[in-house]
Amino acid sequence: MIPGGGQCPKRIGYLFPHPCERLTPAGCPDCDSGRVGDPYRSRSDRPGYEGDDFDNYTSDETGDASSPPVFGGGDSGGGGASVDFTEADGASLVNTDDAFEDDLSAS
Amino acid sequence: MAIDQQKLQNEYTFTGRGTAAELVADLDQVALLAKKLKGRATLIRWIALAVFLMLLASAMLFGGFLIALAIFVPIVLLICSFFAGGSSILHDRAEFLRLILNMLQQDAGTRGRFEVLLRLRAKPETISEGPVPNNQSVKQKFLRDSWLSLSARLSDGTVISESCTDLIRRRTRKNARGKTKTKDKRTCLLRVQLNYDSGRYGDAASAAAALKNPFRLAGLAQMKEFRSTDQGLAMKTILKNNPTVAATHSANQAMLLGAYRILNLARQRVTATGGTK
Repeated sequence: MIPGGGQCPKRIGYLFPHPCERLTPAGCPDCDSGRVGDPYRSRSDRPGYEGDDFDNYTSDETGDASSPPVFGGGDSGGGGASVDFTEADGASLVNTDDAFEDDLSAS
Repeated sequence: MAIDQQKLQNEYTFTGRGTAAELVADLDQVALLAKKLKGRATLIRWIALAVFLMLLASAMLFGGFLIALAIFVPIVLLICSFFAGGSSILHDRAEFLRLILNMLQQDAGTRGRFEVLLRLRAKPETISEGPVPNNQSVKQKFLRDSWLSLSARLSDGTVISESCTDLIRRRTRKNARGKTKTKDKRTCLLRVQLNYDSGRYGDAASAAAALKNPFRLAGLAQMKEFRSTDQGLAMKTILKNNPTVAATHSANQAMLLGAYRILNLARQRVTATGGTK
């Protein structure tokens, strides 16, 4: 049981921290039966974030309030890219390198 | 049961309202439906074989038009079995929804309600069609298939809305022997919108402007748009080249983690300035 009764005071959550609703840490998958001090911060299943990166904001990341966000990823589109998903995106598919037209073996 | 069984059976659409746990449990119905359809297809194939053998025996005895029937009827039955089968149930879509629900469940609380609509069969609409530039012998069509919409309220008061749409480029050509060949290329667009509680998070637009590199997308996922206001965050990401479930889920996760990194920073700023709720 939680010392003093009531709900567990630990922070849990994947996207944002919120209080645990359990009444006992026994069998809790978030804090591993009470062994993890801060389950929210200690998660290791957030792709792109290592250790407690997700819950930490370095001065490098938040220093310049005037700069727009930069989009990450191997094929980053950058800010202000087109909004609609119709002909504009279709055009990029049309122009992709594709040997289909000459591939007579394809079934 | 949180879903509409009739729509699932008749229209192959998984739609309903309930907690994430209820909807995840109901996703098992999709596997049962596919199994049932597969069983029906197998039965029709056996009937086709029996009819073929009976007509063949009759044709050997009586000859004539029964020979034509012995060929024609089983072929028709085999075609029917193809359409009756579960081969066109898109399990990847169900798996993607399962992954989303399992992720959001962790922040939705036990009473968080979800509303989902998932099309398990492609229902594409034509956007445009015509010959391929520089190769008039190949025709191409652009099709759009909106297959998922989801909304829910998370335990921080944020209302999340998500949707997935496929854009399919379908190219067809006839080869020298007159055989038609078709090749599809699919691109997937993910849209996510978070309408947050401004009492809790303040103005997340200023946090978004301050935070560098909030979205850590992997592979070929490409963010097309990000907008932030004092009430909501909206994101669009595109995945090209027939993305897998894992790649689609990964892009979705990256968008949500990035958006919440902004919101969590906004929340910290609200707390630091004493404007907590």
